[in-house]
Amino acid sequence: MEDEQIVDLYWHRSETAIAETDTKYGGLCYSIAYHVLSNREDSEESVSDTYLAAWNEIPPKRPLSLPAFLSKIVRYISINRWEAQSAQKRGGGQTILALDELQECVDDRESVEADCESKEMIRSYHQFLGTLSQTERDVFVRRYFFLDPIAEISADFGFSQSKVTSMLHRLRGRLRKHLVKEGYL
Amino acid sequence: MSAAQLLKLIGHTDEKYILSALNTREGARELPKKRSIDRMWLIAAILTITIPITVLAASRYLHLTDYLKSAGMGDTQGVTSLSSNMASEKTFRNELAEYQILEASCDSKTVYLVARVKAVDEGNLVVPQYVTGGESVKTLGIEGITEGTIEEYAQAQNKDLVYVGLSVTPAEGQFDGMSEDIRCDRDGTLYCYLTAKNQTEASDIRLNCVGSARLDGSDEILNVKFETRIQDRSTSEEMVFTTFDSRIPEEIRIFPEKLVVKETELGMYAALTYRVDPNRASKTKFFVLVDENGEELARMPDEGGSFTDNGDGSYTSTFPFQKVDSLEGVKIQFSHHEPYSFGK
Repeated sequence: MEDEQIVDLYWHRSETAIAETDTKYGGLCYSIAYHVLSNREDSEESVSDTYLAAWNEIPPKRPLSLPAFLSKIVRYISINRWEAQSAQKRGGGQTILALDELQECVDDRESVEADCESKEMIRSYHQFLGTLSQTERDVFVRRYFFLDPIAEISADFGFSQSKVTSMLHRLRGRLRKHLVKEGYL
Repeated sequence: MSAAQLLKLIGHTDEKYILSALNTREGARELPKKRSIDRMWLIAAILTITIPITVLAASRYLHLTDYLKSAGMGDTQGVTSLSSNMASEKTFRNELAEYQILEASCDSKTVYLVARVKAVDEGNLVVPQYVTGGESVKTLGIEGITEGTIEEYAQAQNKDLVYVGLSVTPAEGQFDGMSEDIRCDRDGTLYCYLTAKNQTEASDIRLNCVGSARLDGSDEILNVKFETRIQDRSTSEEMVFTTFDSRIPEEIRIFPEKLVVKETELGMYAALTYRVDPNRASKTKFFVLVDENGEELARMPDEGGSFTDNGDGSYTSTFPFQKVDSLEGVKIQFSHHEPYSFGK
């Protein structure tokens, strides 16, 4: 089924919207959740919560890209779930690794939550993404948005793992410089 | 800024960049196999928090009991015994549409209402507010009308579209979620079948109704407010189960406290109260009841389960189902796990 038709099902409050979403994007949502949580049951719960969130958001929203919309939701839900669990030292998987890597970009001072997700900060982050080549941006988003393992990224781009690792290292350095220049660090 | 905050910021990545990266993704590999999401649980959850609208493929007025039979209710005797025929009640109108409550039936957990909506002016065609004129006329489910859009159907009859809705809320207490089915008759009459979870305490329930209507092309919504009353004349019996299969805490990561099944003339309502393993991230846990053969007991039409945080560290998940002769041999099932026994 086309994405537009699935979104129409949400708009018409048809319960089959969930089933069609699961059929087409269940695997995508699950893989994102699993990369964050490294736990099957928790990942399944995150995917279920994602469908509920989509049901509540559409309408009034009409996402331009259903997979991107779902990806954002499942990532958000999974990271929140991971945070709730991290106090109990459960799970982790790619999240721990990605956080270790991103440590290089920040000063590790906890800022006010709202400041870090303010419109200005998001605009600045997009400005940084806009300075990257498409390949660099795709690799960066694969690693830090989708939390895909480096081995998978390497395989998909036909690069060696060391090439991806060093590319990400350079990109993190550029991100840090950008954040310093913009006054966020 | 911390690394965790940066990770969250990256969650705001523009959708076009997400899509671009997604196109390089071959998909999940070597991941533990994803179990298929149990859609019935999802639907159960959804029904408790939203107002889904389904336009049925039918075209004539069905009395409440016939409607519920068509929706899968096996025994409608209880509905009949609690029904009130309200067709003699007056109609209410704004400039565009006329509204009338025709029938009602309720117990302490569920309210069923049937309402009729007609155009005041014969030159107008009333349609549910949730459709658009550009949609296929098939969505209205009018018998024998399958070609073209809703707009074209209205034009062929030389009528203008009027989008209508009807909201019903109790004056005291609340309804927790409402579902609505619409049936469209060939003469342009709409019949609304409303099902709500009754959380009011009263046996005499005063309902505030608002009928709304908007002429196609206009931004002005015309409302008419009116009040009606329905009576809860139901009786009920409760069964309490407090012993559970010892595997549940380990496999489901919840600690059941009790399962209460309330039986009324309309149906049976199971409420499982439990505490949650601290390692379990999600507090929600939906369940169904199954028979000795593992077959799910039939649900009440248009009703899903619900979830409540009791505020004392415990949670209650509910499952409404159609009446069974005896609960002996009935088991509780979570998602795709094996059914678990429970006892008094």
